[in-house]
Amino acid sequence: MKTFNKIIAILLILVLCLPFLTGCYDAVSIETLAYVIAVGIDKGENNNLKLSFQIAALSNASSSDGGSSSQYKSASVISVDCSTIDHGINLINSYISKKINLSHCKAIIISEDLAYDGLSEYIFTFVNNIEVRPNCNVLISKCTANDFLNMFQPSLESVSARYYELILNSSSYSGYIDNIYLADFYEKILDTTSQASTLLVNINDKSLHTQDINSENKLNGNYLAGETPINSTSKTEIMGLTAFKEDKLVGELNNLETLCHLIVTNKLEKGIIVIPNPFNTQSNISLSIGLYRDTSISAELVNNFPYISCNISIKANVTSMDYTIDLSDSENLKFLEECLNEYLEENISSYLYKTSKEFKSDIVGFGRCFLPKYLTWLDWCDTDWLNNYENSTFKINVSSNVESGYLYTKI
Amino acid sequence: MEKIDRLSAIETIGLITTVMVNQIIFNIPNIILQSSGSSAWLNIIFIGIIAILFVKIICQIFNKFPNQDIVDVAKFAGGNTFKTIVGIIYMLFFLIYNIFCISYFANALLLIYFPSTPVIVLIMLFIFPIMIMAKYGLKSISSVNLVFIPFVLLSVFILFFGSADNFVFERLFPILGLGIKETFLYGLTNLFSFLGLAYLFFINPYLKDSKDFKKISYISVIISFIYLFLAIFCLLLSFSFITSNEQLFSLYLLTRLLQFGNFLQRVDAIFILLWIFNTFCFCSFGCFYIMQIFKKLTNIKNSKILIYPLSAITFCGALVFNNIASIKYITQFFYKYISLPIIFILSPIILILANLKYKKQKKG
Repeated sequence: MKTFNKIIAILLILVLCLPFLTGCYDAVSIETLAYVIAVGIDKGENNNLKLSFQIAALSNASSSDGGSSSQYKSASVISVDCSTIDHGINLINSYISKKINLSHCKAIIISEDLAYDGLSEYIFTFVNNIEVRPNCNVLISKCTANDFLNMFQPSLESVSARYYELILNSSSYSGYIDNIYLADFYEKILDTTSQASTLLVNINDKSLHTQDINSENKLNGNYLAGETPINSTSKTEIMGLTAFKEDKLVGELNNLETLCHLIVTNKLEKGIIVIPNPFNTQSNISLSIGLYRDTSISAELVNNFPYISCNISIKANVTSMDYTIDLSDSENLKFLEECLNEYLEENISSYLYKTSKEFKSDIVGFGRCFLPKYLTWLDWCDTDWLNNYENSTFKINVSSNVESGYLYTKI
Repeated sequence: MEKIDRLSAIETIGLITTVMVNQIIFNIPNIILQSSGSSAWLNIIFIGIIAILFVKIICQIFNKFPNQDIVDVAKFAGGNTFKTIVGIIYMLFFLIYNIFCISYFANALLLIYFPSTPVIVLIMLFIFPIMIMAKYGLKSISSVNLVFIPFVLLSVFILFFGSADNFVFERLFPILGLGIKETFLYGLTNLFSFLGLAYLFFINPYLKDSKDFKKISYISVIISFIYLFLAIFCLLLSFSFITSNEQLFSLYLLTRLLQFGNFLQRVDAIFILLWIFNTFCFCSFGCFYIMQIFKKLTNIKNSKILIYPLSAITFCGALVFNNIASIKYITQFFYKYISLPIIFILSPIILILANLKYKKQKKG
C-alpha cells in the first residue's frame, strides 16, 4: 500500500510538472522575430542618430511544416532617426510586425562622419547587448551606411548573411582586407598597447575610378574602398582598413597598405603582389606571397624614442609568365627575390611611417613588445606609449624565398 | 537513528573540487584580476603555495582527531559553549554562501537568457533540486556530482584550448602588475579563492577511511589551484580590458568567444547548463553540512526534516537582493572580510588550541 501511494505521488508530481516543461510561458518562435543581418549607423539630424537595419525576409514556410527550412528571399532596409541605438530598435519594433533580433547580425556599418567624432558609445552598447555576437564585423563606410545597405545586392549569393561571411573570408586569399570582429575592436579601444582598426567599405562609383595603374607607384592599385575600377551589378565594395586613435577615426589604408599590415601582424595567408619585371622593363610580374615564418619584431627605446625592427620572411610563387622569365636559373630567382625584398621593404616602411607620423596610431600593436620591459603597470602607463608611437623609427628587413612558378619555370 | 553515509576518496575529491570550481564560475577570477592586474597569475601561484602549506598544517593537526570535524574539535578545545558558537558561525557561513550563489546565478540567468521570467521562478528552479538532493543524503549528492564533475572540469579545459587563438602572451606583463605590495602583501586577501577549504573541515566523519583525509585534501587543493590558474590565465591573455572593467560573468565572456569552424558558434548555453548542475551539487552539499551541524548542536535524531525550513530560509534570502550589482558588492565584502577570517584565522586557532590541549592531556 505504501509503495502504491508512493508511485501515485510520483506520477502526480510528474504530471503537475509537465505544464512547466512546455515553455509556453515565455516561448518565442522564430516567426515572431525579424533577424537583422546588418546594422547601419549614420549621423542624423539635430545631433541624432540615423539607424538602418538590413533585415532578412523569410519565405512563407512556417515552423509547423515538417522538415522544411526557411529560405532567405531578399533583405529589406528600414531606417529610423533616434537618440540612441536601443531607442531606435524600440521604435522599429513598434512599427513592424516582428521583434528585432540581433543574434544573426553579421556587420555593423558606421559612417565615416560619425567615426571622426568617436564610436565608443555605440561600440560599447553593442558589446553590452546579449544578442550581438562578438564575431560580428565592424565596417566604416565612406558613403552613408544607409546608402551602403540600400545598394547592397549580392550577385553570387541568394542568402544575404552568407555574403558578409564569404566576402570577409576573402582576407585569407586576397590580402586586401582583414577579419576584424566587434570583440577585437572593443578590446583595442581599451588597450594601452595598440589602437583599433576596422574594414573600409564604400559604394563603387565610376567617378572614383581615377587611378593610373601603369605608373610604378600604382602597380598594385593603391585603391581605397569604392575606387577599384570594377564594373558590376553589385555596387558595394569592401577594401582596405581604417586607423583609429582611441575611438576616433584618423586615417584610411589602401589595399597595398592593408597587405603590408597583414604581413607585419602575421595575418597574411595568401595575397598577390605585382612588382616591375626586373628582366623586362616593359612588363610586370605578379607573385603569390605568403608568410614563410612569423614576422619577428624587436623593439627598444633609444633615448626614449622607440626603435622598432621587423624581420619578415616571405615565400612566393611566380604566377605570371612570359618569355623573359626564366625561373630555372637560380641566379634569376635570387635577383627576383632581391627585387621583391626591396619592393616590400619600401612599401612596408612607407605604411609604418604613415601610421606613425600621419595617423599617430599604433594599429599593429608594437606596444606589446615593450610591456615585458616594465615591472609595474604604473611604469608602463608613464611611458604613454600611444602618444609616443609617433616618435618611432622603423627598420624593415624582408627576406623572401621565391620558390618557382606553378606549372612552368620557363616558356 | 540516522544512517551515516560514508564516501570513498574519489567521491570526496569530486565534492571538494565542485566547491572550488564553483568559485571560479562565480566571478572570483575577476576580483583577483582587479586587485592584482597583470600579476594575477603570479598572485595565484603565491596564494596557491600558501594554501597547500595551510592544508599540510591542517592535515597534521586533524591527524590527532580522526573521524571528527571542526565542531567536534571545538567542543574538545573549549567545551559545549565554544562548540555552539563555532557551529553557528559555520552554519551561517554555509547558508550565506549558498544564498549568494543561488541569487547570483539566478539573476545572471535572468539577464542573459530569461529576461521575461520572474526571478522567483528561477530561484525556485534552483531550490527544488537542491532540496531533493540534500534530503536524500550525502551519498546521492556525491553520486550526482560524480556524473557531472568530469564534464565541468572538461569544460574549463575546452575554454582554455578554445580561446587559445585569442591569447596575447605579452599581457602577462608587467610582471608585478599593480605593484609588489598589491601582488604579495595585499594580494594575500585573495586567499578567499580557496574558500572551499572550509568544506574540508567537516568531511572527516564521512570518509570510509580517515587515513584518506590527507590525500583528499592535497589532491583537492591542487586540482582547485590548477583550475583557478587556468581560468585567470585564459582571462588575462584573452582580454586586454579584464583588469580594468567590471563584468557580470567573466568566464561567460570567454564562452561567447568560442567558435569551432563556421557551424559551431554560441556554445555558451552548454557551459551554462553544466555550471547549473555544478551549482546544484555545490549548494546541496552546503545544505547537507548545515543540517548536520544543526543536528550536532541540538542533538536531534533525524536531520532530514530540516531541509524544508532551510530551503525556505535560502529561498527568502535569495530574494532579498534587488539586482545583481548589490549581490556582487556584498559577495566581495563577504569573501574578503568574513570568509577569510573564518577559514584562515578562526579555524587554525581552534585546531591549534585543541592540539595544545591534546598535548597537555597526553603529558598529564
